[in-house]
Amino acid sequence: MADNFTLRLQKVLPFPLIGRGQNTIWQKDISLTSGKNYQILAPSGTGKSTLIGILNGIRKDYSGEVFIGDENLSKASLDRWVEIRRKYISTVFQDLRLFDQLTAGENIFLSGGFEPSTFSKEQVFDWCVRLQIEGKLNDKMGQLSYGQKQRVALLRALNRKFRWLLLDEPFSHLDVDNMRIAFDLIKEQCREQQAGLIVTGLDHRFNQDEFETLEI
Amino acid sequence: MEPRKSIAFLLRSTQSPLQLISGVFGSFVGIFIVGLAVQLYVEYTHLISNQGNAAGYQFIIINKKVSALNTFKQDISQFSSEDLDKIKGLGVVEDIGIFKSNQFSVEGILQIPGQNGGFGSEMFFESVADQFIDQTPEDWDWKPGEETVPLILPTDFLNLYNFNFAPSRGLPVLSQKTTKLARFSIAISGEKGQETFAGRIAGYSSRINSILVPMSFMDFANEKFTANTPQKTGKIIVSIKDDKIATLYKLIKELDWETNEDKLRSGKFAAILELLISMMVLVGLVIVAVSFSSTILYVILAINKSRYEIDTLMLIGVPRTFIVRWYMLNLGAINALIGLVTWISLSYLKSSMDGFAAAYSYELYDGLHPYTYFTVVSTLVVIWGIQFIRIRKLDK
Repeated sequence: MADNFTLRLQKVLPFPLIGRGQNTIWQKDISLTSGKNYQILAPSGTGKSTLIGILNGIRKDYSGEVFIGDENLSKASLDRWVEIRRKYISTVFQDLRLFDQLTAGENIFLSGGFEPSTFSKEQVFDWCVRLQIEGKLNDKMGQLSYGQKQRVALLRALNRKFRWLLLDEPFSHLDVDNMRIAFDLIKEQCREQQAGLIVTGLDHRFNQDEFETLEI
Repeated sequence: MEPRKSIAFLLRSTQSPLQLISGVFGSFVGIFIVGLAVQLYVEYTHLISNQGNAAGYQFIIINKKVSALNTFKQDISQFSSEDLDKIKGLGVVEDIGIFKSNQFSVEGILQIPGQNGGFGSEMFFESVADQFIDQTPEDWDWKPGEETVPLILPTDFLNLYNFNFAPSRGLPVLSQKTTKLARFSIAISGEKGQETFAGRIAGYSSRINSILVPMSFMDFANEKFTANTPQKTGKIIVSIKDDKIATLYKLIKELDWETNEDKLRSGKFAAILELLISMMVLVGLVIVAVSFSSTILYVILAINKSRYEIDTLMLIGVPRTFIVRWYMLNLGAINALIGLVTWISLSYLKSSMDGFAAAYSYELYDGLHPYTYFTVVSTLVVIWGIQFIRIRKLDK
């Protein structure tokens, strides 16, 4: 797979959407180039999270094929998917998927445990300071607001090497200032890792120069 | 916490102690019963096959039936050498002893110390090789020239006296020891002369229901007092292993001979005991099957309770093998603990069994048998294997 991390969707159609969508990304040949930023815009219920799920290996209920580089992900085993998630595709889920039993800090560092640690604790702590949750690191998740939880989930996703960062409606509970700070950090990290970014959202919020918009 | 510790903490956090305890208890019961069944079978075969222990042997006295037809034909009630060959031919009998009886007449007069009078009666004697007598008394021998003849009486005689005769006559009850002090006069007469000997009770036998004298005395007296008539075999005793009795019993029925049924019954008890142990193994196997499924259910439950944690950990890139290894190590520790508790319980039960058996002077196998250890350990390994098969895919 070497340097080619292009994501390709070949005539992908999720089974629940059969007969529903016209003029969408479904059932087409689409190439997403690593290093570019993409924004998926669509109303609720049209398949944004489904796309994130397909690119994560969570959802298998679709026809067509998905590739990363030359590898057909539609046929990847669970173990291979786990490896791909660990090495290439990092995700912030819409429902965050954090662990309430752990503290914010433990959640953030959880994903770093299996690759040679790519970021120092100081580096990650610096990000926490930028996102203004450094004071919450020793608190259990239950004590955090939803906006703070979103930032913890973002930091967990960033604390890893990746070629793609998938964000499923990541800023729904952030104010404009915090969103700006978080977005700066995301773009900075994607640039540094030469990674692609896919963000889903309900409306046009991002700078059109920076994002290529895909509509579902 | 370090990430790996956090993961262990996460997986542990969803487990319920109650489910763990019931899962552990389920496998413990199954493994304990399998181990116990194996050990009991070992003890049973140990008892049966222990050569030095009379518990494995039965002594069966056989005689021919006396019916109206053969009342006056004495020869028919005798065992021929063909008859003996038939018994030997079965291949199940360890040893055959032939009873010799007196061909002279005997009259005995019993004097009890301190009592006036006594019993006087016509008597009969029998002799059999010493190895067939349940307890050979120390002074059980007689040489020509000795005036006192040792006798072994049936235990039943003394019981009849103590519990039936003595109370009805107002006579004192007697212990075995007391009766050994008693002296008889034994008057022997035959075609070739007569003589009076002193008799003393040397011991009692519960096996042989007859008055026994040493073989040396029987041969001497038959020779000395009677005309030389050939010795006849009217009664034999065989020693046989418990588990072979059924074969002998079949022959006895077939040839219409008679025997002491209660001995056969104890042989049947052995067969029933064997059946019970097999039943227990069978029931044990059913319980083990149930306990296996409870173990598997526990594992399925444990995984499903951690479904969110497992799925999410794999979503953020934690390898499946790491999670499976965590489960297998923990289940291994739990299984080892179950093995330890089973070992302690079996050892404890075994020591109580030893104490119980010792009270009845049976000797059990020394400690837990290697088969028992092997069964318990291999059952645990099989359970661990099944758990691995169930867990390795981490699917639903």
